[in-house]
Amino acid sequence: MRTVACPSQVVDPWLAHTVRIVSITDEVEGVATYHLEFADADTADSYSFLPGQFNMLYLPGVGEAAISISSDPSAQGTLDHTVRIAGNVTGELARTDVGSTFGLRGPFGSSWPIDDCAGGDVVIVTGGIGLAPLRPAIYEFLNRKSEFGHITLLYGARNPFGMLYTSEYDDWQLRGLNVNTTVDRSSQAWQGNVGVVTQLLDRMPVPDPKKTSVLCCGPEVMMWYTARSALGRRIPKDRIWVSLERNMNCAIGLCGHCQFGPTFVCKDGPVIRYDRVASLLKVEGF
Amino acid sequence: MLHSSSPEVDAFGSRDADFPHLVQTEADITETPMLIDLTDQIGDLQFTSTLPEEVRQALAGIASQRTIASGQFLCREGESCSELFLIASGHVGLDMFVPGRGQVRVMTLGPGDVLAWSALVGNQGATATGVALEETEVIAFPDDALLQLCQTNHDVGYPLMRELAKAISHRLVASRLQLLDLFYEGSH
Repeated sequence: MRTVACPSQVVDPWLAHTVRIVSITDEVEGVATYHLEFADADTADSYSFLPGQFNMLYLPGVGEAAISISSDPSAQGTLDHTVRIAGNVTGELARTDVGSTFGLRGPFGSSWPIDDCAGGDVVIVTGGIGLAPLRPAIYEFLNRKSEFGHITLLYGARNPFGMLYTSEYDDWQLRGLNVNTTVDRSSQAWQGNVGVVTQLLDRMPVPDPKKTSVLCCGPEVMMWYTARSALGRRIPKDRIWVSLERNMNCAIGLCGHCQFGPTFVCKDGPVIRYDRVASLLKVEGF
Repeated sequence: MLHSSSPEVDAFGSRDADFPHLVQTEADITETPMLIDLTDQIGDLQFTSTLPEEVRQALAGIASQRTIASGQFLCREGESCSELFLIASGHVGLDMFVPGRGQVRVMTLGPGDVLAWSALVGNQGATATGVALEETEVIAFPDDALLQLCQTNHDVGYPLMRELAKAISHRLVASRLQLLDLFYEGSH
């Protein structure tokens, strides 16, 4: 299984590399994608990541924040991070402009189990900004489309204006991804699905549950109910993966800030098989 | 992609959404003669897939297949509906009327979902308006025949009502999750 990756390629996990903002894409209100390039050409050549991994973005004088990588892992272009304003670092990042530089260290953490999904159907269930850490996995699945069966994206958002990467859906669809969207609150103009994203999973055909993999990222309540729906569709619990978010500081499992029971989310996660964390997902305090 | 991601497209401009009581529900539904045994089709749908064969046969005996054109209504909020629908293909929007806001879509139903169950549990009127969002195939069960079947044959009535309770329970959980407003601040 390839879920535990790196940080072997990170020579010095404490070393922050200088990155420059090449461009900024405003996604939805309070969310933007920062397209970055390394200032050092050798670093740019040697850097690689797996879908689901994250970087620590370091703004001098402000602090660090763990942000998932949202670009195509096999592309040669910029290194993209989709960021929601949630605290000091992301708030300061929102005030930076194209051309600004800051520090980046990584990549860290485990990755989505792309290889383990080969030979079967794949269902990607996500909501809100949870699509960002799954976008690299979508690219990877589509780049290797022939290795998989049906690949389906079930994406929920608060409302039609809260959906990320909408301009890419048609291309994803053309390349073989079955895109299904839903919103919790509709508007008069919205003609798509209304309802929670788990209903899409309840409703979709699952012809071969034992060979179907579910990759899920979103609020933990959503992931818990997604897993419940998946189990109800007879998908085995060891074929369900979730991506957890915790307060990641050191990113290498030393400081303990992101400890989740026996798991360090920064090192053992963020992508973790559901059956390894299921008992903790609904425990208050975790 | 099944549904447009663009919020700019007008959904059902021709629909008389603000005055649903002025339009006749029955006239909106195109009935097609039942040419095939519906037992297998009933067995393929999630709501009824776990029911025993004899129960599916009994249900097929009172069922008919319908094609609902896009934009047409299956039931209307507050009005009695004489049939229970099982969606075989297509999608149906569930709308509730809010004074000052008109029809507000609260949920979308799809294949395998059950619709217009209010009469089966004693409600006099439908709790929402159901409108086909595309050409939709449904299996229709007359409420009176269905209730009579359930009352006279408990081997049919109990498992059917149990599945209905499960479906309503799922609908309730889904509504609760919508109420939680999970994506208000996003997450990742």
